[in-house]
Amino acid sequence: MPDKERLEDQLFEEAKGRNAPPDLRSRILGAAQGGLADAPTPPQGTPSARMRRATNSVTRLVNQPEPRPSRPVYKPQRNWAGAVVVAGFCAVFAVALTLFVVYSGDPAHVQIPDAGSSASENPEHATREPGRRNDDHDGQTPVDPTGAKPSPEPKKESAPGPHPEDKPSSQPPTETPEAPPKRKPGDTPPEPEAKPEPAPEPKRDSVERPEPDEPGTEAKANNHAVVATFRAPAVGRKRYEYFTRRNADEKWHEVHGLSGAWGVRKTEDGAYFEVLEGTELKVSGAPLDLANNALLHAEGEFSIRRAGDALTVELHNDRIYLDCLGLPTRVHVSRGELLVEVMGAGTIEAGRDRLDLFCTDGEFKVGADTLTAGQCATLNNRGLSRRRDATKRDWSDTLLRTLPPRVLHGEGFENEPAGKMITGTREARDAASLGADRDGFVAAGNGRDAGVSFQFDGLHTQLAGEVIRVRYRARGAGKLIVQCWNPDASDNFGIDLVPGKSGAWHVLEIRMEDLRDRETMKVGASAGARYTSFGFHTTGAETELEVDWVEFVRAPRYED
Amino acid sequence: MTASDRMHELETLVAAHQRGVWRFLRFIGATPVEADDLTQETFLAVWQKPFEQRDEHATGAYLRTVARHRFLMLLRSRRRRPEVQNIENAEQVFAATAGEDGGDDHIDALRECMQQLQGRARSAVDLFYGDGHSRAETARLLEMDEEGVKTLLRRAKQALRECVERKHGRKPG
Repeated sequence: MPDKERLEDQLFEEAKGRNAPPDLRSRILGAAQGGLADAPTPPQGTPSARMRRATNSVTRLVNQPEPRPSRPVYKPQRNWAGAVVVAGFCAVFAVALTLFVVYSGDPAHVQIPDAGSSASENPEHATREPGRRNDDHDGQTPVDPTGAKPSPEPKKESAPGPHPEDKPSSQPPTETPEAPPKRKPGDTPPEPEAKPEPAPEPKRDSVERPEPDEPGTEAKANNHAVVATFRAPAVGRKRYEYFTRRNADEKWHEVHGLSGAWGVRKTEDGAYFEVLEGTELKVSGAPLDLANNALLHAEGEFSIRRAGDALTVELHNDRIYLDCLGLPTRVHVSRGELLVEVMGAGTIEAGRDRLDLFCTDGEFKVGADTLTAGQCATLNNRGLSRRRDATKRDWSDTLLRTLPPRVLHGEGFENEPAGKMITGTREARDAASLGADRDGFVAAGNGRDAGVSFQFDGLHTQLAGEVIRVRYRARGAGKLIVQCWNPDASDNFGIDLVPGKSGAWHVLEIRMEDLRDRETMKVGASAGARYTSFGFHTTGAETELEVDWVEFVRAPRYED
Repeated sequence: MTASDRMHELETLVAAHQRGVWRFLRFIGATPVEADDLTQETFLAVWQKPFEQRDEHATGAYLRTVARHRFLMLLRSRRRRPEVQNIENAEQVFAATAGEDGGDDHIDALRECMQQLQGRARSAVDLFYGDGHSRAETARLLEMDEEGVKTLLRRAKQALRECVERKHGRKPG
């Protein structure tokens, strides 16, 4: 008999007074009052082995020594001897590179530490607000600089059950200094201004430009659409990453906080520059947020045009990494007559009359041809070449290893979350209390198993390489639980962690693929899974929790 | 949160969902005694870990997921097989048929619809579902042949199904 029919029969019987559920309220409440150990009635009538194991697990947690105050990490620690050898090679390489730079006198392609990065200069003060790229990582994905062990997957010591008393991650979260300068929660790159009529796809040298200004001044071409934003570089740096010019006949003018440059304009708060359509940009190893929320990380020269919702990056020289994964709008990359539609992520390098393509995620479309994740090919005027699988060398490309995280969703609690708060309350805090550069709001909870949780505005779909970042402070917590509700599985997907130093601000970074279903801890969270809410909880009889911000970023690890 | 607050929270949770969890456990093959035990175990397990009430539907679905896993553990320990054909989809079948609230509204609607049945159809439903007679016994008591009772019950079920759907404003599935 089909399941549905059998269920209907069961319901008919109940409606006729047979097979009705008994009232178990007094029994369950009595068991609850009897205490944790003997509360559940085990199926066999003996004390549940699962409950005993869970209790032991908690005991071990309590007795655990003070956690090491370091950031949770991602890279698995595999072989120390190998790591020493690799470190040796890296040191030799670094020395060789330094000598090369000193004697060649061409520092153009050398990564110089970001001396102007406020977070790295002053670690005591973390800029608040999630949603902005982590510039103090200097273009790195959020990886523990110690190279230490990653947060291990939650070990389930017990049989399937919803108890969170599993072995927690041995890696406590990082203490501040941590917080990157970021955009306000929910703040997306500014929507481009509407143009009355989108200009036809122009050729590079026949672009209709705004009236020329003196180089080194901000653009007056306000009627041009904003196609991208980037963080205003701090003044006084040895080297700037962003340069603009009107056309190929002009010199490049660096963009920095004092003067601005042609084709870009500062936002009202002065923290960001907006790039106007058609501006020629030269970027050396730095990111831009495109107007459709895609990430462009460039080591090259290009300009950006807009037609309707679609953006086109005209690549003139060198190369870019583009990440549009999960976005509904398209981004094209062109060089002359060559055109690629990026429906995922990957690198594109301009050669002489060709584009070298490497698709890392999703797919690239060239006419009717498709390049899928892990494939490389060359596009020239004869079409797309034969595809080849990416090699280890392709995956270890410097551009891929220095990617900044792409912010997918940020919640800073300056306003009520767009979904809604489920648990916890928004409370104001001054800058000193926040350990930040200005006053703000936190989501706070206290009492037994204090927690903070909120619903997303709609469904949040997990992308490959997605990371949850949380800035928090907890007191009295035995452990921390990060979890997201998956309505398709009717279960939370989460992980247990050891809290850092009590009362100190920490930034927690968890790869979403490390989350497991809370019931069995056997099913991992995979790309494509959908979530309706995020929860961050403590365990303990009397706990306090403050969450400064939560952000979901995409930070893929391609080098693995 | 104080101990009494916690107890009140559990009381609210149990009052709202215990029938739905129990029904679900019966649906996936638990005996009444097993359903009693597993319902209790499910609520205590959920209550003992951080848990927030999102909304009634999500909470009900979560409780059923926990209950399903607990039942599967029980089956494994006793080397039994589940009665439902696809236990992984049991939650969806249950929610679609009984409703997201665990079946309380569905049962109420069914009771009202059963009052509207007339004649032999009502007798057949009473004998078969109410008194627990087999189809053969029902046929004998109604002085019909077994195939006739089968057809009668099928039509009665269809009428009840449509009546319930009308009450819920849902499209018959």
